[in-house]
Amino acid sequence: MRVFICVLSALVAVSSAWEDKTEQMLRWQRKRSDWVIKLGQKDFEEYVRQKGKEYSTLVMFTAQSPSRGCQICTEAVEEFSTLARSTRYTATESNYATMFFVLVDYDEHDGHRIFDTMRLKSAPAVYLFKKDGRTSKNDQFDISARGYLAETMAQFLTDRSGTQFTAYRPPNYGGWWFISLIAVSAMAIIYMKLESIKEHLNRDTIGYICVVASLIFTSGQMWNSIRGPQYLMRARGGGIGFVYPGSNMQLVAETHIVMILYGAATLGSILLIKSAQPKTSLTDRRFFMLLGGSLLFAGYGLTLNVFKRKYRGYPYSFFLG
Amino acid sequence: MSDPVTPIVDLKCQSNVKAIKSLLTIVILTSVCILGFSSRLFAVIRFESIIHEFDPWFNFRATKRLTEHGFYEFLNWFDERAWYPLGRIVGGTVYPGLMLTAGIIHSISNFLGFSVLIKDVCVFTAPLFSGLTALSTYLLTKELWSDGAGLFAAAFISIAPGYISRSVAGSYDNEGIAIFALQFTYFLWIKAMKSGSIMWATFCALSYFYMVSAWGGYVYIINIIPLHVFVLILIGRFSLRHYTAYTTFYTIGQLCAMNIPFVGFQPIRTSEHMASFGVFGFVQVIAFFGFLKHRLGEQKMKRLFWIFSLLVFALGLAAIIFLTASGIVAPWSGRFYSLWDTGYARIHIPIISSVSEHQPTTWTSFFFDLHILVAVFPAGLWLCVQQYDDSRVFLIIYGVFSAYFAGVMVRLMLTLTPIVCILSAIVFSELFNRFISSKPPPAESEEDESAPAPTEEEIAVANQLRSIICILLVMILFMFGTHCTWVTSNAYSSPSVVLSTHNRDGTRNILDDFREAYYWLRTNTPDESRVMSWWDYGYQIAGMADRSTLVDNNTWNNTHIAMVGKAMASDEDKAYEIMQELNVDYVLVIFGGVIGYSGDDINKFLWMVRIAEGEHPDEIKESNYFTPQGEYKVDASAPKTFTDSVMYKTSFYRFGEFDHGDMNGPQGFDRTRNTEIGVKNIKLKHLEEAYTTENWLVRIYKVKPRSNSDAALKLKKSKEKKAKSRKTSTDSRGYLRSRISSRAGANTRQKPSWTL
Repeated sequence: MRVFICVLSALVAVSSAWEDKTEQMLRWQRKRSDWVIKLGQKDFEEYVRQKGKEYSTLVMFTAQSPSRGCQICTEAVEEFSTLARSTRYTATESNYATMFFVLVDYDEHDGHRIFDTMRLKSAPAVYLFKKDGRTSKNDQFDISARGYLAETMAQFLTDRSGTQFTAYRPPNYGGWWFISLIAVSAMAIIYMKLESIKEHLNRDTIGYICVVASLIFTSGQMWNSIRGPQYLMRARGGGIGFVYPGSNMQLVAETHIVMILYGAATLGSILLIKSAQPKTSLTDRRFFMLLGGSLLFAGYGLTLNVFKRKYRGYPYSFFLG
Repeated sequence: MSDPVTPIVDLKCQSNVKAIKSLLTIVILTSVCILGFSSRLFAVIRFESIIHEFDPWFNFRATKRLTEHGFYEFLNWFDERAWYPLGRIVGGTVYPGLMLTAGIIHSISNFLGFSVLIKDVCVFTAPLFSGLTALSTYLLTKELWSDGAGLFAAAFISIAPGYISRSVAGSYDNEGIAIFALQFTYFLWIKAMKSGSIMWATFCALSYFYMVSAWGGYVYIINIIPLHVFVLILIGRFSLRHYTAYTTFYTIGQLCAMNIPFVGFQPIRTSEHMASFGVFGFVQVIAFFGFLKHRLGEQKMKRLFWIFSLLVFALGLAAIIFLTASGIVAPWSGRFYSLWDTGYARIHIPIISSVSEHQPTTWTSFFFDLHILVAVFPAGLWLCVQQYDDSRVFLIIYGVFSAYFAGVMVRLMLTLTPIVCILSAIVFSELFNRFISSKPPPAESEEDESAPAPTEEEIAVANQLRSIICILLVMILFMFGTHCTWVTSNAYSSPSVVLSTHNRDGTRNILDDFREAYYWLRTNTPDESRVMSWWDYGYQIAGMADRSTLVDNNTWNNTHIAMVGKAMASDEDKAYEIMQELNVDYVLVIFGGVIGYSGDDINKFLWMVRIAEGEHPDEIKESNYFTPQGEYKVDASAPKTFTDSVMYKTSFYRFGEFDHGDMNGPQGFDRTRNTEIGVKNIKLKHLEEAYTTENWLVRIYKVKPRSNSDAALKLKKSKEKKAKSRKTSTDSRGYLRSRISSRAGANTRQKPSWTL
């Protein structure tokens, strides 16, 4: 009987220790709106690596401090917290408090020691730690191969843990609020200062807006915002490449170059047309003609030049080619 | 129009000038039409008069049906050869304008005694309409700017590659005639809103009706025109003429549009049409208040009007949001939604993002399709803003919005091309107007007393400068012309049904594998056999081989496509079950490894996997088809899931023994992906090779019937058991509760319920 009580009390103690850990994690979790727990080295050892707990953890190792200059880290953390937040909405009784999302930063609370013990050389990295605090090769989420979208991480978690995880992206009400705020304030301004706006909103301003908008749209900026390519690249011979040698991909830099060239051609033709207006004096006219002509032809010729670099085998060039 | 005729010229001379001008206009327009027509004939001359690509094959098949069976039979056509076993109601799911147009041309020419094949009518429909497009562009530009600009615009649109890409001979598709309808509707709209006559507005509505019957892009019109009216209201230039024009156009146009079976009640039920409806209501309110004001003549009316109209606007908006949210009005369909939220399609709708036409546009394709026009058309916008009037506002709206849409989706380059042609025609005509005329524009420096009078020398320098600029401008246009011809001949004139390669000495090789395979299917298989292939080839199989297909280019049923994708991505045993369920007799795959054809099924395979994963996330996982490094490869590092898949096996079956002959490279060297394949001794279990074309481009496999040997029977039984147990377990819901919820979760991922 005594033995039994001993065992029982031991069990109770153990389970209460488990309970305590879960409780503590839950407490931490509650503090954060996105349910991502930030842990330092000590707590990491105790709450993630140690055996004897009732939950698994998905840990993202990152280095967010601006001095590290890791841009992906910030984006990855955002996706990570999107995933963590969605568990908040999808938590059911069966999976409540069985999975926690932990963030370890290299520069905070001795985080670099954790990196050392994990033998991590780069950030961001994502590992799944099971209940016994262990992790294996399969438990690593390969960011370099799979990206860091919350959806893929959720897929990974589903595969590894057997419970369903889905990443819900919250509808971005922020954007709507922002837009409606701007709209309302614009309306208010229009209402208050109708006269002075009428003064400023003349043909020139509207013309500029239209021209710039169409330049942005036709120079591939939409492609950039959807695909997110890099700004520059390493050229084949070393040095910086501004133009990607191929037509199915583009760098941000080259779209900017092209936008400027298109702008030059547009401005050139506007100047040329202006130069022939009867109101301008002869000297102005000559100046406009020279400037406009050179802008238009240089813009066009250089665009053709850039185009030729991307389109191997394109036979024509205007000059410089 | 280039030079205002001076009043000194006597009347006779004036009429002479007029006559010469109109003669010139006619000559220029005729030659533009001829030019447009003939520059679209590259494919016919190089290959033969043949229907191109994929969708045109369906259109052709439908047109044939129409001419053979008559109009009503066509409207009621239930096509049991497509989407086996579901079938497709063609009459109600197609824009019939194209088929009717071709059918009418066909019957007219036959009536007149020219017996033409319906195939040839279909092949030449698009080039014919390109001439009409040029004419209507001329009319539109003339209406909005000037005669000269109109001629330029007509010339530009007739050769602009952005439009040629959809209208070469043989590319028998909706867009070919729709661009004409688009331009003509706009022309009539401008006419109507300028004159305020009910007649023009009715014509506009009828033209809109034709557009609706021809292409889904009519949504473009029904949003741009209301936007035009709305902007006119905003800048305070709205008048009774616009009221008449818009009200007539809207009511007649929408009533007509609803008569197209495929459109049905969409004009009053979908969000795409709500803007036009809202503007319609708004316009009524304004007209009502105008009437009140006229009657009461009160100053306070104005204030009341503003308050009330804002109120109505807000209420209308709220009502639209409410109706959309409550599901009475359908929210934006996926394709349109992806236009606004550009990241949406990439994540949520693989079937849309898998189509290359729905990708965003790089700057190269803008330049490729429009060349110099894309660089100078903003100047045209500038000019329109500087010299704006009621109708030119339309050009501005049209230009900016199409530029945005074309940036988001390659396909919408087509709607951008006409407006870019018009705007840059304005620029060029203004430039030439000012620089080419023999006498210098009257310098006003005499008025400006402080400025010294220009010396002879200065004038001479200016004149020289002018002529240099003129020459350069002509050179640019010359470059534009050569560019367009080059692009048309090199990029847009391939039928893609017939391929051609160039030898080193410049001679051409014609690869006719597709038709070879389809002809084989047509002659060597039973009439009712079912062919499984990826959806890209559905229309071609139906059109050329005349056999039933499971899925085709009309991608209306994602589940069914995912089923085929799953069969292609699974191993043979699993795929065999699916094939048996769907009664598949033949499997057709496209394989380019022998000749280096990049558009083959292995390269499309990841989309099959993605689409299959969208519907069957438990069984198909994209990551299983990548190497551990996350690459997609066919060589020895390819994962087992991939090399076991039906797609890999059928593509590379017997390819391990294939020797490229004089080409250096080992046996089984895949020239498309430039690697040696990983698995060379592929054994097929349930499939057997039925036919492989000359260049291995098309490979057809026959699905073996279940063998009746004992072992196979046992296998079958155990399989059946498995299938049964699976079924019952999901039915009774006693099986892994989380799995059921996972399915629900997967569905919501597909259609996020929170949006809007």
